[in-house]
Amino acid sequence: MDRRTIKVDVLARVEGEGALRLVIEDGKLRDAELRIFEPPRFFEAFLRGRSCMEVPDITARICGICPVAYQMSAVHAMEDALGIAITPEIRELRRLLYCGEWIESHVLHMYMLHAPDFLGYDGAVEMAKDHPDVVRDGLALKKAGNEILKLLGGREIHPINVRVGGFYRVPSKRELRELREALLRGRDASLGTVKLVAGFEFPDVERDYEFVSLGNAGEYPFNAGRVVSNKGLDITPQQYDAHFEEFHVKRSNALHSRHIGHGAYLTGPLARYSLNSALLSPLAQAAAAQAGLGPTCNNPFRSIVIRAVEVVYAFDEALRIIDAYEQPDRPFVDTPMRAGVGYACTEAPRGMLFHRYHLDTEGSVQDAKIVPPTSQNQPSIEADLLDFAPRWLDLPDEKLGHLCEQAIRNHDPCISCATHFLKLDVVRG
Amino acid sequence: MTNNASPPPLEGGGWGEGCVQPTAAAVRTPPPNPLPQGEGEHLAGAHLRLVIGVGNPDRGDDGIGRLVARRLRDSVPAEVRIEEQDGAAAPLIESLRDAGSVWLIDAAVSGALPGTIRRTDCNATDALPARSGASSHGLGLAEAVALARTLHGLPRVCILYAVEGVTFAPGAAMTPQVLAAADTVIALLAEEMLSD
Repeated sequence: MDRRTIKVDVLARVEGEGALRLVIEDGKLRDAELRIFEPPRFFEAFLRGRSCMEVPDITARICGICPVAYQMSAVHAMEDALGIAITPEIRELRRLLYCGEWIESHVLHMYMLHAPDFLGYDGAVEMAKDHPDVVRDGLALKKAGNEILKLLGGREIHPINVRVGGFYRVPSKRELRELREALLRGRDASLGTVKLVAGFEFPDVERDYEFVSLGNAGEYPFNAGRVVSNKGLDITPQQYDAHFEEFHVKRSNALHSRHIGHGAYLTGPLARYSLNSALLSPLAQAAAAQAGLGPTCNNPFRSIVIRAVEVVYAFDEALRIIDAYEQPDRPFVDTPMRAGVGYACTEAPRGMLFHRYHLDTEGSVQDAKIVPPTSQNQPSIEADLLDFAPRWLDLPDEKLGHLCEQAIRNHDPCISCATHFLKLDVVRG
Repeated sequence: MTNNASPPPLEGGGWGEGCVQPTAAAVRTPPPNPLPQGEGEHLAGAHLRLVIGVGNPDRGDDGIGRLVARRLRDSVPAEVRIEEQDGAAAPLIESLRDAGSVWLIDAAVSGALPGTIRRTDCNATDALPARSGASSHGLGLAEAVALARTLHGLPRVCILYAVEGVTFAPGAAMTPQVLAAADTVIALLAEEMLSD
């Protein structure tokens, strides 16, 4: 048997530690495995016995890139368990906080991690030598997102102002208005980002994914909606466990997920956009059309374009919220404790994030389940490789390895969240 | 933490320039009040002098940079700004853009003895090699310095004091030799700022 082995020990520009192994025998791709060896972090276990009020701050520590997502899914799940309804003003402020996180996370991925793939550089440091303006623009955009987090969250990383029932403190109208100029500049710059990334060259590939995201909410989804797919799924977050299951594979310290009876599915920008593009703001829709996107997108390499469009939307939505804001009388609603089970899905930048908590009568966590987007996307990432890599097998090992890494980066995997660095190992036979 | 498992090439005195081993003679007692006290007035641009302590105070020796920054807060002149940062690249790049003179303090891993203090002139070419293709989690101090140099040039003075650490576990206590190095770094900084 003719066997060819290509090893890339460290898959770069992803969040966390992992490896990829490709097995090629007699010129055919036999297997593609995304191996995650970053040690498990046991968050679900050490949440047991903690007050539900502590959970947003603890789960925020799962990720330094998308802490807001963990806070949002946590507070909505707790409010579901406690039977609490938040006020419209709190709901809008939570959307605003999420806008900040989408901006800073998407911009970081597009400019620092993904753009070097398309412009032919090993990383942002090398890219900056030839394209300093691109990197400068990226840093400026990211800062605008961070400013939202700083004001609403109390600080840029691992915010501390989110609580079950609302916020510990809400901003004044004046404080929010002070963000306005930076956000207006950011929105203009984000249109330039769409133009930049739409001009990249993309491999001409598509896959028939089952896209899963929040939807049917009458708005581009952040915190609310049903769990829907392009293959007919339409359920509440409370029904998630009946339709999705996690399973362990030996090669990965992160659990994989599947849609029961269907298999692999994809969450994240491609899914969110394809299921909700009509709900983008007119400016974001126009930017998508100018970038050549239709109402859906099945080419994962074009995910960078969708992220850019979502950044335009996030700026637009942030400005809408700020302009309509009236400071609520109280920063949070009361949180009387009771026993119950609470569920929530919200849209982290890299995909849907499910939380489930069992609380006792004191509001103490008895059981917790957290399903990050990267866990859900791992089988689809492997399926992408199994589908795409055979077209590239004639390429030299280095080029093949790079394209496979790029195919993984399409989905902005946050391995740290899922367990949670990547090593590429290609075996040719 | 500045990770230099393979120490960068020497420049002049190089990476080893000002390298202080943690011997009794090296661990000097800082002057009682190393610098004149100020009211916290901040200047911007070429006149701003900035000390940035980098690291995570909850991860053992990684907290040395921020410990030095905290101890300096009450003893620096008015125009010296003290910052504590976690080492993420974007805010470091911004701070480096805004100042005329910058002293960075961070923990390092190079295989030297714990508490060894290394002084590096970041303006020296390749003084602090950046890793290519790092994850965003890996875009740290060296990458921030490289990006800042490319994007807008480094401050006229840009010095890194790196203290060799050995323990970086969450919640760990700082190694005694690393802790002892804090006062030495403060004394070295004081001398350097007075002559700047």
